[in-house]
Amino acid sequence: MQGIGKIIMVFTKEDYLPSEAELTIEELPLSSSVLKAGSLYFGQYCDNQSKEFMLCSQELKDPRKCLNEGKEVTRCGFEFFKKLKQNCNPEFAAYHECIYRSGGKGRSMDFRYCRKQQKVLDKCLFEKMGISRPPIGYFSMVRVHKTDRPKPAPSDTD
Amino acid sequence: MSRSGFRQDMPPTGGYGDIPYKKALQIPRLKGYTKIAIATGITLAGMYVCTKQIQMNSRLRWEENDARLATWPLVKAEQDRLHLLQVRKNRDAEAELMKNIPDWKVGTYYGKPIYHNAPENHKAYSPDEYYVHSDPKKELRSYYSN
Repeated sequence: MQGIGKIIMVFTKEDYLPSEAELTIEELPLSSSVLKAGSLYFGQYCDNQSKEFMLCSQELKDPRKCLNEGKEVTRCGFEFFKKLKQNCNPEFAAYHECIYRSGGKGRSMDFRYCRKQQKVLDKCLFEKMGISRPPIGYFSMVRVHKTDRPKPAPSDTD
Repeated sequence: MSRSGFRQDMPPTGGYGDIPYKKALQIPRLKGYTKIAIATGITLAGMYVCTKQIQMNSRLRWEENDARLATWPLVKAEQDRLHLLQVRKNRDAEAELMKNIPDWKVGTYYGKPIYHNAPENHKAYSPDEYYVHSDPKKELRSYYSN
């Protein structure tokens, strides 16, 4: 380790940092395969919250100022996965099992090997929760987000 | 040897046949234009199949990218909170560690800020600084993950 003799953190006592109570909330206890299997549906369900949070962090570039938006995203994630478990648990379990095992040893968790289970899950989600799988490229393409968030003041780096 | 039995060697009746001096060319079964048409057809079919394959792979890659982008806010929100917690822990640990040193100001080097004109929202530091008060294995892991 280089320069261990004079390590200096850059946050001083005067700088604002949120308290531990503000930062400690219940986090989603999910592994990557569950997130991957539910990702597109989660994106549809929590579209507004996600876009609001990403806009905040892109505009202000400061994690301290986007805490509430981030908490809102996590809360929505809880809501979505709880609803998913209530409504389509067996279908999602089958789909997740397939996603977890797809891609062989590399564990790439590809969608393409699980179309059969996906069809069943799509049908269930559409009937019970009104969520349909978005068309391909929906999240990758540019989308316009309408919001009441005030415009950020131009910083000195702009 | 009797005279009546003598027989002069002569050419066969009707003469010798023609001398085959012409090159024996194999007559092609297909005409030139037919061959060109077949080659073009195979190329075009190959191009079609290849394009379809590329399109399909591209669609699959877009779908994977969609999934990554859809989950990113969820991951980033948690990551930001963890990051701020660690920064807070570092600041508290530094204040505790340097409390006996006179003139020491937390976050600076004896009151001298590290960055002359760092903007308010961009507090840069090296990974060594970030992980200095935690398990060294954690820092090593952070280099080799992702």
